[in-house]
Amino acid sequence: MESITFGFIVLFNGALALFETLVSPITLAIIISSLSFLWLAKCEIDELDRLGSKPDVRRH
Amino acid sequence: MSNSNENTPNNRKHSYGLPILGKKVSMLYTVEGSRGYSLRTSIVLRYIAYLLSLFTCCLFSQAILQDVQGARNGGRWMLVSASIMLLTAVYGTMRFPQHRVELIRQARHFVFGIAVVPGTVLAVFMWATQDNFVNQVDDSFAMLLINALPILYFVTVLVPAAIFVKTVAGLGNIYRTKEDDQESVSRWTRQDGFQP
Repeated sequence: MESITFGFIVLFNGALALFETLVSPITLAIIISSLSFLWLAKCEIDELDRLGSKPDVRRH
Repeated sequence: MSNSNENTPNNRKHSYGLPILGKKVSMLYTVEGSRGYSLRTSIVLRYIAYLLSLFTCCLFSQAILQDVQGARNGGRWMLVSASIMLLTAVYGTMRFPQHRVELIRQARHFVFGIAVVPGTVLAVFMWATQDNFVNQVDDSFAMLLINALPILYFVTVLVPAAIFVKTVAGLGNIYRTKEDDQESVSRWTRQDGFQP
């Protein structure tokens, strides 16, 4: 039982350390800028898809 | 009476996930050939290059501004400013989808053309000239530069973020024509009743 408890404590401590690292403003800025670039790349690819495809109208 | 099983655009079932992805990829090859793949790959690689350039400039500025009085943590502020502008661009592409091509172009111009690259050049200048300002209390020009350069850095790196946020926030409020398509086309083609 004790080993299970210690295991949980280790897991909780690891989660807390990860949370504290991620919550720092610089890490947040890195994550935000990476995700933003990902989104902007997706937008550009969407625009390219729109240019390269004909409208799909099966039936009027 | 419309049948609910009829294959109309409103009744059509959409599928998502791997089947639709495979269909899109094969459609892409059918329509555009291998050039379609390379075009999209080049966009992804270009954005990876943007990300790496941003991080490199911020790390470099942070490293060389460590000992410059009044501008320590300049690289960190550069990263924060760039992330604010990029987040605003993402918001803008969602809020104003009709302007998203122009918004992406403007965001790139603000991040790299106005804030990050000129900020890095300014950081290099501050680092290169800092030794000339030591013990120059009686030199008024040196004192002016000591005080002005961190302010100039602030204006170069942080103020564009505020301007870009105001630009995107004001996109919905600036004047645009309220005409519909038919009115616009009749005006552009001079079928507006004012022709001789």
